Amino acid sequence: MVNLRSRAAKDTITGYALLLPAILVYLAFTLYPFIQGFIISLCEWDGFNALKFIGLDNYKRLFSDELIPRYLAHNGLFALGTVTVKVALGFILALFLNNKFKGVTALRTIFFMPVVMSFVAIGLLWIWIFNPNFGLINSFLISSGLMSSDNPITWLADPKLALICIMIVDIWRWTGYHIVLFLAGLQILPTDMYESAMVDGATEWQQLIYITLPQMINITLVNVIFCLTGALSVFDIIFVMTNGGPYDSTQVISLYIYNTSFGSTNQFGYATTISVMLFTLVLVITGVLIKAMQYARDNT
Amino acid sequence: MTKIKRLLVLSLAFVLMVSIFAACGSAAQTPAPAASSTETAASPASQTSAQESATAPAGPKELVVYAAMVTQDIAPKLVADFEQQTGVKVKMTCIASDKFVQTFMVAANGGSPIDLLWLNGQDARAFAKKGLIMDLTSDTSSLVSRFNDAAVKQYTFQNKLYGIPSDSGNTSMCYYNKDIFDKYNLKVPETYADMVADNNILKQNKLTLFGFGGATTYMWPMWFFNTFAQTSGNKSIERTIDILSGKAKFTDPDVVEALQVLANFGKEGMFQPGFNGADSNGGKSIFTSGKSAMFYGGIWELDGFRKAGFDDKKMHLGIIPFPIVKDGAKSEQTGSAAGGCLSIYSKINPQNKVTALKFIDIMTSDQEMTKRFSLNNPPSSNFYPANKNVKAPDGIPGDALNQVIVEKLMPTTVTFLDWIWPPEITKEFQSGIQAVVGQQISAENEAKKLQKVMDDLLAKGYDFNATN
Repeated sequence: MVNLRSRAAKDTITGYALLLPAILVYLAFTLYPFIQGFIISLCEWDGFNALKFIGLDNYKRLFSDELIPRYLAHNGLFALGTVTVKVALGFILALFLNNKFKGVTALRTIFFMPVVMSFVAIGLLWIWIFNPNFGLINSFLISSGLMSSDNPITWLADPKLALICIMIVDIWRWTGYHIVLFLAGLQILPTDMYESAMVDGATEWQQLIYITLPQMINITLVNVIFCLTGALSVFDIIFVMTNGGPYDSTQVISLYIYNTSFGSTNQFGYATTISVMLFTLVLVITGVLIKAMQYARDNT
Repeated sequence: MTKIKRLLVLSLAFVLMVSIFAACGSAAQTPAPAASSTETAASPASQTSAQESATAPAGPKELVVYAAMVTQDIAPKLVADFEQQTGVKVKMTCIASDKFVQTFMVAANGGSPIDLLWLNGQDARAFAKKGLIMDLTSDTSSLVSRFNDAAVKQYTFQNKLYGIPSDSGNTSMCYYNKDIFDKYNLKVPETYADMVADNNILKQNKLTLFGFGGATTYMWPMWFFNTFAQTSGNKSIERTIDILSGKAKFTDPDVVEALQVLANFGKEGMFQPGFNGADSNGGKSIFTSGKSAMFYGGIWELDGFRKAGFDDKKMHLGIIPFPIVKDGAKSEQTGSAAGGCLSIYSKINPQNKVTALKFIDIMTSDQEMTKRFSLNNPPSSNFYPANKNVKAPDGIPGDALNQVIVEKLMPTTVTFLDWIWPPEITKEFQSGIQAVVGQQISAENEAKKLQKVMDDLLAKGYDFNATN
């Protein structure tokens, strides 16, 4: 029988009491909307009038919707490009910024600055940079003789380039964030292993491969999880820069959800069904990555 | 000491819990109607309104209007007379047309108090169908006689009046940079052949005929309105109604031909490089920076162009009707917005309805509609007064543009087709024309896609006559 007067029981009660506000916030703003969303996914709803229960019809439509695989592929491409580059670049730059040299603090700040900027401002800024007629990139390419002004690269208007342009912007914005995460990991690595390695004559490259990288697996997986979940639910930068165009070449699942619900047709029920699908997808992928992280931790 | 700390911690947790519940609770509350007696008898309104106000409980201190047809800079001037006459403040939320539905939807679902909506014809039709705006037929019967029949018909669906005309119509045209035409000795285009010839010379000089923001897809249908008017023999409205009623198809030759003309525009390179990656402002800046010789758009662009340098000193602006793009066709139709309407939100606080009707009455009076002309900048940007007794101003004295508008464009202006299309068709047209002009899909295949959307709608029970 639990002795309520015991110190342990008091600590437990205090602990739960302290957790309670956070739990309530979670219930009110995460769990309840999710359950409500799932209910809406079983209904037909135009956002104004009463919900009309239609069972699994929206889910049947989901599996026969030809656009879903196409837009998921765009998400996949975006994830592949941004996760690889952001994590690799973040790690390399973190290694560089982990050294002590004059101006390192300023450099760290500069790399982190895009993270705190508004995505709308970033989007508008890069739209002008990519402008084929008077954008910074084309002006540079023309003035340096690398491109003819008769045949300018149309960047965001080219369906083959538009998604790559958006990836570049996303990488530019978020690399600083991943640098900080990697830096935090690098700075807590024990120094004794490096000292032993140096005594044994290990080169810097060998130290990186055999000491740093294995020790950084956990933090790398955390970075990958953040990047991947962000890539699968990317919305804002695409909404601002191309709104899914040209010709749907940058249309991704989150934008499809937005356009299905808030676009001209107001199909909230179906949009919520796609959201449930996206949630499940992110959940499964994150679950697999967390398992991988646990495996890596246990075997390092 | 430990006990005190624990007590403090628990108290803090309790306070946080209470705060959360309080925050959630207050959001769900419906605002109580104001108990003020600011409702005045100074109404020039109909007898109906006067009778209702005599028996109605005290009205509100404030009316909330969500407006798609008003810009925030002129909103206070627009409602000044109403506020002065009634003592009721007007809170006007002005939203761009393309963002109106979602903004309103979020506000409405969040329980924000909303009394009136200032809508365009496209949204008025959709909102009436969804039951979001009230049938005003009986409440405004005494007001109807002040408007032109055409203006009233615009907002009458299923023989019920859902919106009271509250604006004047306008028109669309091709703007051109006179200085560029003079410099390269170009002929101001009247036909497709002229356009091609001009464009070839312009391209040699690293310019293009049109500047346009093709990424803003909702502007693309405006081009189709003109080409379809010509390919349908100036029967674009009738043909559209036939198609939506199931009597004709989007795959019919006149629709395909209208799309093909636009495809040819793209093929000939009449737009600036990367036009489908530029938004509306980007497209306009191509024209105002002198990188294109022409711009097609509504009369509402005129003020912006003047501010951007077309002031007859730095640069010179000309306007022409849309050129003839089909051999032998006559250009007798160009697209326009027929002005907005004022509607009452169906979930209005009942105590506010009388004041809302009074707002409609005052705002659509002859006096206010006349005042509206002076508020628009330039004053010539609206041309079709909805009120019978209101005359449009003669325009800007000495302004040559005004003459073209009055003599050539006004008589040929008809309603935008996307005010008639269902939203699904509008959406397909927007992205479809972008793809056709961008050479991503043929005109024939895009017509088939449009018909597929139409067939799906008909299969789901869409009935054009049910909302017309």
